[in-house]
Parts: sequence; C-alpha cells; structure tokens
Amino acid sequence: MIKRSLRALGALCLPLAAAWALVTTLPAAAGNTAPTAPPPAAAPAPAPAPESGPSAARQMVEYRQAVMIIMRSNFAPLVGMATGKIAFDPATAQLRADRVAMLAAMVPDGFVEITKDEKSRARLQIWTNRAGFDGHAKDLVTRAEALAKLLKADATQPDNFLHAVQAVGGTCDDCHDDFRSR
Amino acid sequence: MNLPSGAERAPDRLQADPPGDAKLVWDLPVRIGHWALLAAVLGAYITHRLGLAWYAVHVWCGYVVLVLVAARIVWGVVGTRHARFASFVRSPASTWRYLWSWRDGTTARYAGHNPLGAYMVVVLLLLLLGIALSGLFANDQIANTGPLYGYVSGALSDQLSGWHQRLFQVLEIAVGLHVLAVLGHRWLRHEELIGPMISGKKPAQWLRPGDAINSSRIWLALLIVLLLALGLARLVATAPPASLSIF
Repeated sequence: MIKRSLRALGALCLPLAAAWALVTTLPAAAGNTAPTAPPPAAAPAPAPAPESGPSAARQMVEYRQAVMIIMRSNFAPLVGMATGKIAFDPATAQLRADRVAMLAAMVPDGFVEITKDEKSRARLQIWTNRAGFDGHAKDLVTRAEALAKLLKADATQPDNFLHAVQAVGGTCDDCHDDFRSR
Repeated sequence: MNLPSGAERAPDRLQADPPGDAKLVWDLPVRIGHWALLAAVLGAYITHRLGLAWYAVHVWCGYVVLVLVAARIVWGVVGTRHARFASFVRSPASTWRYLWSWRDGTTARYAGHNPLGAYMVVVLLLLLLGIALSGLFANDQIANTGPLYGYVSGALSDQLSGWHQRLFQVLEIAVGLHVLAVLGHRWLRHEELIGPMISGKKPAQWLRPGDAINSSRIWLALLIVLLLALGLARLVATAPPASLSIF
C-alpha cells in the first residue's frame, strides 16, 4: 500500500521535475538568440557621464529644473495663505518658508556654462550678463530668508506676511522676465 | 442728383456747432463698451504690476475684457448701423485712397469709423481677444494659474503665457497708434473724436441723411452681455481645479 502510493508520488514527481527543468533552462536557451540582459544599472555617475545616459550638462539642466519644481511647490502654498486662498497655518507656513529659503541658495547651482547649448528655457543672457543673473539670485536668497525670519519671529500671521511673500515672488518674476524665455 | 460719391460726404470745414445740431451715431453699448474696455485693460495692467496679491483682480479684469470684446464682436453683426463690421470695414484699396487723401486735406469725414480706423478696431479687438483667451490658460510660473489652466498641459500653458505677454506688447503699440490717430484728427483736421465717443453724437453737418441712428438697442446689448457672461461663468466654474503646487 505504502509502496504503491510512493511509486505514484514518484510518477507524479517525474513530470513536475521535467517541467521545472524546462522552465529553468528555457530563459538560458532563449538568451542564446536574444541579447543578454544589461547588468544592473550602475549608481549615478559623477560629472563625466557614461557614453549612454544623460550628459553632465543635461543632468545639470534636470537638476536645476527639479529645484524650480520643488521651489514653486513650496512657495505656492505661501502665496495661497498670504492672499487668503487657503487658511493660514503657522507650522506649514514656517516649513514652506524655510524650504524656500534653503532652495533659494540652490537656484544658481545648475546654471553652469556647460549647459548653455542644452534645450531649456534658460536664456543665453544668463552667461553674457552673469552679474545681473547673480544679482537676482542674491535678492531671492535675501528676501526668502527675510520671509522665513519674519514667520519665526511671529507665529500668528504677521502683518507684513503678504508683503514679504510678494517680495520673494517679485524676484522670481524679475529674474524670469530677464532670463527665462516663454 | 448726380453728385460724385466722394463729394457727398466731404463737408470739409468744421464750424463750432450748437449742441442741438448733433445727431446720435455711436450707440450706448458701443460707448460704454469702449470706456469699460479701457478701464478693464488699465485695471489688468495695474494689477499685473502690483504683483501676486492682486492676481484675483487681474483675472476679473480679464473676464470683463473677454465678455466685452466678445459682445462687441457679436454687436458688430447685430448692432446699430455704425457698430456693424459690414458698415465700416472697407477694401484695402479704398483704405489706401483714404490715407492718400490726407496729403492734400481732401479727406472725407465719416459718420462712423474711417477706413483706416476700421482696421484698427479689428486689430484691437483681435489682440484683446487673444490676450484674454490666452490668459485663461496661462500661468505665472510662480504660484498662480489661469482659471482654465486645468484643461491644458503645462507646456502648452507656458506657450500661451508667452503669447499673453507678447500680444500685450503688440497691444501697447496698437493703443499708442490709436491714441495718436485720435489726437492727429484733433490737431491736424480739427475733428473731435473723443467727445462723440462719450456723447455718441457727431455734428449734423458731417452726416449724410440716414447716418444718424434712432435707438441704441440697449436691451439687446444687455442680453448679449448677460449670455456671454453666463457662458464664461459656467466655463470657469466647471473647469478642473489646478495648481502649480503639488501641495
């Protein structure tokens, strides 16, 4: 009885084992005709980029565009609170303002000269009138820090909160007018 | 009667007229529309200069411009005599003849728009329409989005924002020319055009029989404005919410 059932089990195992063997060897067999899978992607390469993948200049453009996206996502809620579109919340306002101040300092980082010929909305004037560009960037840092400081000093909605937010937004506008094409 | 066509509308010397002799040429909707447009465009410009905090008012100025311009275009088909495009848009050839006649001062006077001014009307209306429409989809790259931003991609919105700006620059030039032309009529030809755009009346001696209009059709104009405003309100109210921020 036991012997017979063991044999039956063995009979069942045989095709299963065969199927398993087939399944595991198939990809290897297919690999002979299809190109082998690429090795796992290497960690993001530093400045001199590999031949494939984005160039160093392109990475810089992507970096600065990312900074801008994070910047506007943190700044827009401040504008909403300042203009009454959303309710003022001291903690959120402080958090956003601190981030804007931190990001402000990062804005010029990606505008390096090797990115001049990359496709983006940056105008060439950034590199022909660097002093003008850096001036805007410095204004942005000053005003963003003033906004963060204002909120730190007064947990309720400060009187000149709107004014301070407008000052930051004004530098965005001024710089975009001069150095960003539509 | 065998008058040459140019002569019948060429009373050249304008005398000071008793006010009683003035006849209605511009209907009330045209006049209110004209000055309200000026106010709305000025308001939009000022609120733009004032910055982020005034954005809501800027948008409202844009709504007013859009409704007024759209209403004016409809009025150009169903309005009173001199408000109709068909009555004032003339061929390039006759426009050129009109321009040429300034040389020797034989220029005819027109009850409504002169041929050159007619083209300026069309240009100004198209510019304002383009600016107001592109503004609906625009963004300021910082925090604010136009009321219909949610209908377009970010890239398209950026492009339309660019046109919103560029067309305004063209508008500044066009408005400058428009004002210069009005002043030119006043100083070079002693033809007052600003007064009639307020009172609606021009001296009877400039007019041919039948030039004066009897009614302003105010109710029709109000109905057109109301319908357009309701349409815009519905369009804006049903637009998907959108923001430049992901928070």
